[in-house]
Amino acid sequence: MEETIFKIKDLDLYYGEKQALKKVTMDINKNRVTAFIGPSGCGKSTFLRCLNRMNDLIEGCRIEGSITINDTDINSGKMNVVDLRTRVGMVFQKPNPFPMSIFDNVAYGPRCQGIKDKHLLTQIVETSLKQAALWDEVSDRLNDSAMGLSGGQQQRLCIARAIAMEPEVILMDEPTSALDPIATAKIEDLIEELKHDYTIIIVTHSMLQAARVSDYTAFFLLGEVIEFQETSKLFKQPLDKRTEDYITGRFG
Amino acid sequence: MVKIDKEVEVLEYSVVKMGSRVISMHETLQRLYVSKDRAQALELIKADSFINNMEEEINDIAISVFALLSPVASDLRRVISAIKIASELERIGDYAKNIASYIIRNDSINPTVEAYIIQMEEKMVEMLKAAMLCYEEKDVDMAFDIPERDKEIDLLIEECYQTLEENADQQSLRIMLRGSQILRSIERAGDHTINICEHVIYCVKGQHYDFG
Repeated sequence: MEETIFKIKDLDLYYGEKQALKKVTMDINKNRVTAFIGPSGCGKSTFLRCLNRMNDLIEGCRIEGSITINDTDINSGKMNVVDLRTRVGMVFQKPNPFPMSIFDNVAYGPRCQGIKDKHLLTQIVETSLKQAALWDEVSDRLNDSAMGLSGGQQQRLCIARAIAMEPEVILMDEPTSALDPIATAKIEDLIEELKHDYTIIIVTHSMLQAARVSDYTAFFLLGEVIEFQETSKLFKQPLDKRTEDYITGRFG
Repeated sequence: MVKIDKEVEVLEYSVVKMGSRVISMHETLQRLYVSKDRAQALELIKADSFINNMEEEINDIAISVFALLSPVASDLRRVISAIKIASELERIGDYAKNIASYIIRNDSINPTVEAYIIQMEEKMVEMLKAAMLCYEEKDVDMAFDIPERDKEIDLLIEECYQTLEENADQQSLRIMLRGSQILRSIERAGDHTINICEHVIYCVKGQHYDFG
């Protein structure tokens, strides 16, 4: 029996007058990789950002419907947005390390949480970098600037930075679109490893990537979820004609 | 039309073409049973290597489609079905070759057995034509109907064995055993034809059916 972490029900999202998400309803399972696919502007990134309330920062953005994480409504007064983002980390399309050392990048979050013990911080940094499959490449130069790392290493550093906060969920918004195939393969392997400890939700423009890394896939179109089911079923025999047209490249 | 459409069409056209060749091999057999023409039988044996090459070509096209175009959903099923049907056709071609070499090696076939052979071959050829047509047109209803015809072939072979059992003596037993290889080959070709229908259903509906 799968355990659900996020329950989304009838979610509508408006940017001013424009409705960007329409009655999105889905359950996201724990320790699984869920991929969102769909053409540009279909609402998949908008939906991803709802899950850790990144849309709060956008003026005129209004949400109706409910999103719960472990049965707590994330938009209710009970949920502090900082706590939410601690539990739901995020990795963006373009690697965005802070202009500081590799060590300080990973230690940044824990330090903000008030951890000052040097020994504990070192331990967190090492564990996080190991989990992000970056330790072997940087262990002898932790005090070097993160800006000197390659794109793929920077992105794994961003994943390590997210892991350091011990989140339950990691949101990834097109995490490999700026990377070469080798760096992409490393991140994809990493996703496979990370799902044992975390729930991963990934937005991707690469259908092949969704097929390779995810357990569940949701296909978005014009703000609606057209189809949401097991990845193997969706790519072998989609139920909706529009999904079939999109994944086989016959859309429009 | 997207690129994969063109490639899959080339693939399916090659399978249909291979089907026509195999059908024509079995039509030649129908004439051979009567004429016992050795030269024609040798031609037929040679034709089999052509069929084998066609299967290789189909596999090569399919591999290119996998490697370069990453087919999914219905595209993927079309490629898989093409590979599998080509493999069934190759086997059906093999049976034609085996029967032809048998005809070269043996002049006499028991007349009772021969009558059954001709009947069974006729039904098999009609069934194979129908199966290839249903593949060309992706006609699932037809794919469900065709396997019924295979039962007629199975009945004929049973009937033939029964008739022979009733009239068996040492002499006819030997001749009948020789003829039974042909009967068996036609029956197996019929089974592979049924498999083609299963692949058509998988191609269109994505579901596996087993007609036995």
